[in-house]
Order: sequence, then C-alpha cells, then structure tokens
Amino acid sequence: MTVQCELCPKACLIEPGQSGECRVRVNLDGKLVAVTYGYACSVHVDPVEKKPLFHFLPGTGILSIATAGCNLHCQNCQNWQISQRNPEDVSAEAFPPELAAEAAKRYRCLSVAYTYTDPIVFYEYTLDSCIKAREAGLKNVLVTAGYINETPLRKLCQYVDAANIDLKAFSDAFYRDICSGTLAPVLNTLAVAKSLGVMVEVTNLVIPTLNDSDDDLQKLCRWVATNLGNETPLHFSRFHPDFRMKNLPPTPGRTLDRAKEIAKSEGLYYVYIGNIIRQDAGNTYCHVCGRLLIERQGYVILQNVLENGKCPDCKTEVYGTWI
Amino acid sequence: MDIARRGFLKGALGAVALAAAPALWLFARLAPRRIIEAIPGRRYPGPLRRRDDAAVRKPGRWAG
Repeated sequence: MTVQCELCPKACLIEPGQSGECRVRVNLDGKLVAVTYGYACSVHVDPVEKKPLFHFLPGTGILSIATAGCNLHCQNCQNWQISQRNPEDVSAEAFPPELAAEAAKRYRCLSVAYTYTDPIVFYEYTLDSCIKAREAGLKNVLVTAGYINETPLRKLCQYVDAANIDLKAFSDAFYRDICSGTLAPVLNTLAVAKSLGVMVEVTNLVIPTLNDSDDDLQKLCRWVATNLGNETPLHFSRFHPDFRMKNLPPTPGRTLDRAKEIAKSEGLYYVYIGNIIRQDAGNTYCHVCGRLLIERQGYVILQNVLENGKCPDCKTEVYGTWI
Repeated sequence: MDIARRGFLKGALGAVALAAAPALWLFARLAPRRIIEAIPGRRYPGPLRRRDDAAVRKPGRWAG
C-alpha cells in the first residue's frame, strides 16, 4: 500500500519498498519506517559557535549528531557526501537516543545539536533524543533548513531550546531552482519556532549572482526584522564552490560587508559574517551603547563581558541564552 | 402520494448507498495512508562502524 509522508511539505507518495525524496523514510509493507533512527553517520563535539550559534551558551562544546539524508537537494550543499547519499552508502554507528544524552554528559557538553544534514529527515530520532537530553538536564539545538510541516514542528519545538535556521534566499524561484524546495514553509518555520520560544538565529549563505543583490538582501533582512524581531541574530556566510555548483567563485568579502551594512540599515542588532576571516566579523556589540560584549576569532571566544546576559555598561539585555 | 414519494426516495437513497459503499471501501483501501511519524527501522541499511572516541572529541569535518 502506498503511504504519504506528511512530515515535510514535499508530501512524498511512497510506494512499497521505496523511499521519499529524503532517502531515509521508507515504505516497508505499508508502514513508514525511519531507517536511520538511532544510527548516526557523524558524532562530534563542536564549539557551539560552529553551528553557528553566537547567542547560545558561548564558548561551550555541543555534541553534534547527524544521520544520512536530506529533504532538500541544494546544488551548493557543503555536506553532500552525507546529505545527498542513500544510507546504504553512508557508514554509521549505533547511537540510540539515550546514548546521545549520556555521551553529551561524558564529553562535558551542555547541549546536543541535530545538525550537518537536516534533523527534519531524522525527525523521530531527533525528537526522542531531545526528550532524553532534556531529562538529563541538557539543552537541544536544531541546525536546519526548516523545511517541515507545522504540526510536527510544533511538537518538536517543545523540546528545542535554540535553532539556527537557514534562510537560503528571499526568493521562491531560488528555492525551486537551487534547492528543490519552496520559500513559504521555511518562513513559517522561522516564525513558528520563534513564537514558541525557541532562540532562533538565521543563516544566509550569500552566493554570487544568485542571491547577492541589494534587493535580495534588503528583502530578506526586512522580513527578519519585521517578523522575527530586530534582536534576531543574522549570519551571512561565505559561499565556497562545492557539489554541483563549482562554476561560481567564492563570495567576495566586500559582498558580505555590503550584506552586513544592509542588515544594519534594516535595524537588525546582531549581524555576523562567517566562513571568512574578517575584522569584527564575529564580535557581538551592545546595540544601545556600542560596547564590545563578546570578542570572537573564528570559533574562539577571546573575551565575554556580558553580566547575566546584559551589557555591563548600559545594562541592556542581549537576546540569547547565556551561562 | 406523499408516502409514495417517500418510498421512492428511500429506495433511491438505498440504491445509491449500496452502489457507493464498495466504491468508498475501494477508495479507502487504495488511497495512500497519510503518516507524519515513522517507526524506527530494525536495522541500518548501510555499513556499520564502531565508535572512535578520539574522533568524537574533535570538531566534525562537516559544516554546521
């Protein structure tokens, strides 16, 4: 019997013995089976800044887990070796949800990230791991493209503390042409996650000629400021040629500087530049008095003068989850 | 006349219901089952490897 997976907006109709577009949700005898549940293809302790999350427990390690598969097929995917392959071709280790929480404790992490590919496609594994992690006193982080239906998203958000959600472009055509997705569900995910109390940071990978015009950037920044709030951290990330998009050059530094200027002019308080070494790219400043609050070099915190999440000078509260 | 009309309608509705029941049954059988949450697989379909504790302690090579 055919099943229809209603986890994500693709709503794949899956014939017996076949998988959905994500490659990991399979129809076995009329039942929808998550074949990567409990099998991680990648487990690492990362600095939380690598997600990137700059307003969430800075300077701490985060146990980061992925399984094979993804429901989008971005031509520029940086992790295509695990996201765009069948699980049959990706090695994995048994890593059940209870072990994830235990390992995070053992490695002295304060949180667990579901990342690298997209936690949406290993939804059940993510959900159960989140519950176990919460029970163990840990926090949960999603690093995702946000391509999920609202009902399962709302259920998952009950256990999620923070998320870095990709907003790949503010253009439906971009999502259709480059990622085989659509824009609207991603915007909905951003808004719903934020409204449910998840600490949301947004990442936009700036790709030369595809999403780097002033108009593209302005629309994106304006939407973030209006719908998520000026306090929402926004990361502009540098594109590197990869996977099926090797015909474009890396994003010039000046383009990223321009993106940052546009974001600032749209009223966003915390704007960062990533994947490139750049003066001031990762520093957090007080949006009221301008005081340098967190100085970063790459993923390393050089100084953090926040006092209970507030600027030590003007006492302005800084959006985020702080130690 | 009223009774005859009522009788006719009853008969007609009954006939429609009789004809529609198998069609509805068939539709319910053939329509895809709509599922949000999958059940865990019993075994991983790809190659399995043992955990490398030293590798776990290092940052991952993947973005994110």
